[in-house]
Amino acid sequence: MPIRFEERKAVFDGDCTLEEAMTLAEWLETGPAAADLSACTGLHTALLQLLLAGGVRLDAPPADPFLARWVAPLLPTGR
Amino acid sequence: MNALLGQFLTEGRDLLAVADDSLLRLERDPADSGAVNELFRAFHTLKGGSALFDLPAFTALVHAGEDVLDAVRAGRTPATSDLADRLLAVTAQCARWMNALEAAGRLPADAADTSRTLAADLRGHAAGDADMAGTGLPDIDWLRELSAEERRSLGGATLTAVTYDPDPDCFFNGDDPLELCRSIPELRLLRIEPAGPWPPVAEIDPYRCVLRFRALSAAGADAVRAVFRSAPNDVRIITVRLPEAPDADGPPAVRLARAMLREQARILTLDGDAEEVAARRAAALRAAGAILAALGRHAERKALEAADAEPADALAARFMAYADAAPLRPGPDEGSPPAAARTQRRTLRVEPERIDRLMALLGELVTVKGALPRLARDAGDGNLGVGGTGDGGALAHGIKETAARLDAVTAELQHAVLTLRLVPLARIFEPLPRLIREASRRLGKQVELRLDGSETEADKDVLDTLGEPLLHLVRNALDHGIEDPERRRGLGKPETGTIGVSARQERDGIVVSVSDDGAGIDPAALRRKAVERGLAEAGAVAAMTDAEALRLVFLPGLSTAADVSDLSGRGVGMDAVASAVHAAGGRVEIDSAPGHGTTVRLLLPLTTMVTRVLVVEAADQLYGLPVASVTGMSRVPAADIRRVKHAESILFRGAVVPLFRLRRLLGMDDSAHLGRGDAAAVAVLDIGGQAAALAVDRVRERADVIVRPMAGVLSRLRAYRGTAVLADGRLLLVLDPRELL
Repeated sequence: MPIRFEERKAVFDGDCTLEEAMTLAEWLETGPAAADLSACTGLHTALLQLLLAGGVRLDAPPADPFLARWVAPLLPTGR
Repeated sequence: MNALLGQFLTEGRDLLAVADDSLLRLERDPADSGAVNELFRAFHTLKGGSALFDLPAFTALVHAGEDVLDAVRAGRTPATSDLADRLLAVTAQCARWMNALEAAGRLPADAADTSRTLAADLRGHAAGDADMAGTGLPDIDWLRELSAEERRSLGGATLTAVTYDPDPDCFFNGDDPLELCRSIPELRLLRIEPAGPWPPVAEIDPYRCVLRFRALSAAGADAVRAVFRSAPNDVRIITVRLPEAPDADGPPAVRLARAMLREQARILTLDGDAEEVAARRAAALRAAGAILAALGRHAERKALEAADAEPADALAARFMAYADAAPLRPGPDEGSPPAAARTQRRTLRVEPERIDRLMALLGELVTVKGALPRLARDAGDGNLGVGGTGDGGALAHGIKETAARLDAVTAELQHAVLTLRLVPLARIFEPLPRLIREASRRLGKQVELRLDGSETEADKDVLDTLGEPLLHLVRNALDHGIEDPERRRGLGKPETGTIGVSARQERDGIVVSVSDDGAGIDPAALRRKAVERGLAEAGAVAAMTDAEALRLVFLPGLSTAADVSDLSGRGVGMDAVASAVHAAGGRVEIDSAPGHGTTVRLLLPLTTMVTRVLVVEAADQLYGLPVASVTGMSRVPAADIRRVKHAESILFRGAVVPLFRLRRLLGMDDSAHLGRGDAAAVAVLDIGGQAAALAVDRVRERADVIVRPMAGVLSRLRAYRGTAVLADGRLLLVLDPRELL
């Protein structure tokens, strides 16, 4: 399961694809959220734009260098 | 004005000159792709530069120019004369704005409107001609929105810019734009941004792509294009060269300061005996302190003073640290010059090699200086010779040797400093092609401009005074010299006239000549006009040779053309040309053959700093006459001096020349000086076209001197241009012949 939804946190694991988009969108509608990208190695554009549109807080930055360099700075961090 | 803006203005003007030049080339040969590329680059760089400041009108206008040129480059829009006109209007507007920026620090209030009008003109042109209205030109605005930091890390490199606006439905094709961007080789920058405003998360369609991507890669355009094989229509890939980050190493003054600090560090670690090392150390400390003070880094200067007991290595390391420290702020004198400085360019660009040479010479100077304390100690101790001969031979030898080395280094240093100020004449030639193009169209004349010797170098100050007169001479040649095509045909001349502007270096200076194959000047008409206007007596002009009569053209208030045209009449005339050239220490010659053309030659000293003078003697005092104004020397037997009342004259090269005696002019006793049997030493001078002979006691050598203007009360003595010191230490008063006579 590439995205695991915890309380108010989505934990991304491995290669997360377009298939997760609808689930993520529905989950985001339920309230403010945070994301853990530490184990994420691939993030589909559809997922990224949902994170951005939803103002999702970055709880754990990605280890993947590409995502860490170019994507992580776009998401708000901290409390 | 801040230093960054100053640099933008300097470089911007150069870019405008490049643009104008390319436009004219393009107009002559619409297939000249080199010219299109240069033009595009010039606009592109201007755009990037202007974006560093808050100048939306400026940026938008050059951006429009860039778009049109991009279309030309891609073959979508033809390069026509009409397009060249519009682009020239843009560059002319940019030049005006730059002047406004320099004078007032901002664009005029109407800039936004002007920008819109000119840009609409350009765009209308592109759309009309290209028959592609509506497709819109791809937008690379984002390149100029890069932050200062991004510019610093990317500037100066040739990069592939990717503007990727994915199709909203691309997810259905299996595309993942973010993953595509991940595979861009050698990715240097990736911007991910929403294509429009964000919808509320509840309304977002998760299967429509609403992001767009901008990327820079250090890989070639082909390698990048391969990544986007699946989405060729959504992406625009171009090769760009980002302008060097302007503040990468600070403005020139700061760069120089850095280099100097590094050099001082090097000097500190040079080998030598204890005395030399100590002397060098003290000098280096002083120099570094002064550099830091000039940069306004007073805290560091204090720290340096406190650290003066540190070992040399530690000090050197400290200097290097100061040199590398960021930010190095230029001192307060980098601030705004008064607006009254008008549009003169105040910056001087110097190749790094010339600065390096100066630094090396400075190092040598310090090394030579290091020998002096030991010599002083030897002299003080009475240690007159190492060999114990006690006759002072060794000491004298040591002093001589040091003096000789000092001589050699200072001579080289002087030369190196003078060459710093040399600038190629190309700079003042730049506006000429454009002037000819516009003016010849307006006047309905056909003219070919031939430029020659633009690589000749002259002192910056000389060039600054030469620019205006040169423009005026060329305008004159076009306006009054070259005839209409019909008239030329009637005269059996080629319909296209030729104006030649050439420069070359001669022994004592540079010669710039402007010649045309037009109507020439009729000396008889000049004589008549001079008398009509009450500028000369009928008898006097009748006695003039034709060559002398031609010089009447330099009299204030005399215009040769029957009517004043909007091009070259009004205000500045040939007299303004002559006085500008005289002010720079030069002179003007004119030569004309009615029906065949006119040549005006401006003879200028190579530099205003070193003046070549003829040293003459009167009443045991030495005087200098600028060689540029001396046309001949002669010994005239006293019996050959003609006298009419108090006026004296001599015959020189077949002409009667008024004679003045330097002793009398300077209010000294002349009575006992010249007996009847003696011969007078005479220097013949060119005073604004008139010959005059100056009798002196003795004519001596020629010398290159640095003339220092008179200071204080003495500065009101206008007969003297200044003082100079000869090689043997004697003082010389340099005369200004025009004021003297």
